[in-house]
Amino acid sequence: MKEHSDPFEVLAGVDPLDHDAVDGARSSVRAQATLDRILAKPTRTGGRSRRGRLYALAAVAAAIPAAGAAWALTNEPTHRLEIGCYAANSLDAKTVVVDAGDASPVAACRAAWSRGELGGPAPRRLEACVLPSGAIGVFPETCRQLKLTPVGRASAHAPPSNGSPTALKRSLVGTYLSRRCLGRRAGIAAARAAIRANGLTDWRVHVTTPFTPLRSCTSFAFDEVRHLVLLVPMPPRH
Amino acid sequence: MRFRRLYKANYGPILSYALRRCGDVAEAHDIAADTFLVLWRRFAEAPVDEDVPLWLYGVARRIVANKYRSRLRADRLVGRLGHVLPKLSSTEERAEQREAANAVLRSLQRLKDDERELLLLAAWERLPASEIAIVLGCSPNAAAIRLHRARKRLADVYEKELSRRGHD
Repeated sequence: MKEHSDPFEVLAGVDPLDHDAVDGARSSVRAQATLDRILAKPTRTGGRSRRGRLYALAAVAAAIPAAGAAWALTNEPTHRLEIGCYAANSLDAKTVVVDAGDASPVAACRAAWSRGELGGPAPRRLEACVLPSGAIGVFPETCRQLKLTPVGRASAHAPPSNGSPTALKRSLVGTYLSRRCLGRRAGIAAARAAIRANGLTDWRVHVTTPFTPLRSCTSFAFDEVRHLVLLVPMPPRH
Repeated sequence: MRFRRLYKANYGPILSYALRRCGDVAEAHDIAADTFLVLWRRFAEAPVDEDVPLWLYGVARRIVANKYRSRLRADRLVGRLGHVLPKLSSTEERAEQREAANAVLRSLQRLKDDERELLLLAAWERLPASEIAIVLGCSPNAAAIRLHRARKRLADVYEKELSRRGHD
């Protein structure tokens, strides 16, 4: 009789997770926008001891100035690869995440409005604000109404320059698309060359998981917080 | 700020958990968002940092269970793990391995929800029984026994599945 493999081991081997999607998504604007939305909500309504309630209020009270102070010092965002376009002047409004691409944040969101993605004609005024998470959000009115800091004028209206994380991303996406399969070594070399070419000296290359015969090709993801280009092993593209 | 740190450290694992269970990136983000909202609202009761990931898995598990309860009733035959199958069929694995994988997934769909979740926490999230115990809110001993039984159940159903396919 034929010996069958242990089904639990088979199950462990068919993990459906798309590591590429997760590595890109966890530092995405969507994740940042979610954090901003959560921080804007009250911590708890009822059902806890007075001591606990006071503790939570103190935590919120401490958190707001802390978040404010961080961004009051600088009006430059820390996440530039993607932009959150908000349909209304609220952190809870419908949000469309767009790639920063070659356009300024305001122009990128105006394009999303004109494609109808935010459900109406583009408002006359759009303003790019630094969200508490450090990402860029573009709102139909003013940042001040949301107690947010406007993105520095140069960053809000100018396209990304060479030497920015956006240019690094653009360059590596181009490399990725130009080849059916970029091996591990070639992927590391391409990432290092792109980092050097863009003068981002504090960026590093990190391989997320081991390359295998089935996942022998490089895909790139970007972690703007830790300044990492992530090499994600993937099957060859078809 | 502690919440911000916990969010950044755990968003990836919780998103991965949700993505493995539902197979849709947008939906997985929603599940992760709901999970962290629960953490924020109950922050004063949150466990110490080392246990937060397991606590979050427990919250995400309940959110996924509630979200899919109605859909499972309507779509039981397809099963919520159906999203795995197309992915497998597109790989270059040999036909035999693919058939074994399909049989395991079909067998998994025939287990009880609790058994299935135990096995997935062990196989995909790679949690040992002691950590599964925290996610499920039971003792480490109970988790180890339940995991052992679930593995045995899976093996039994899998054998039947393979012999049934052999007769088709």
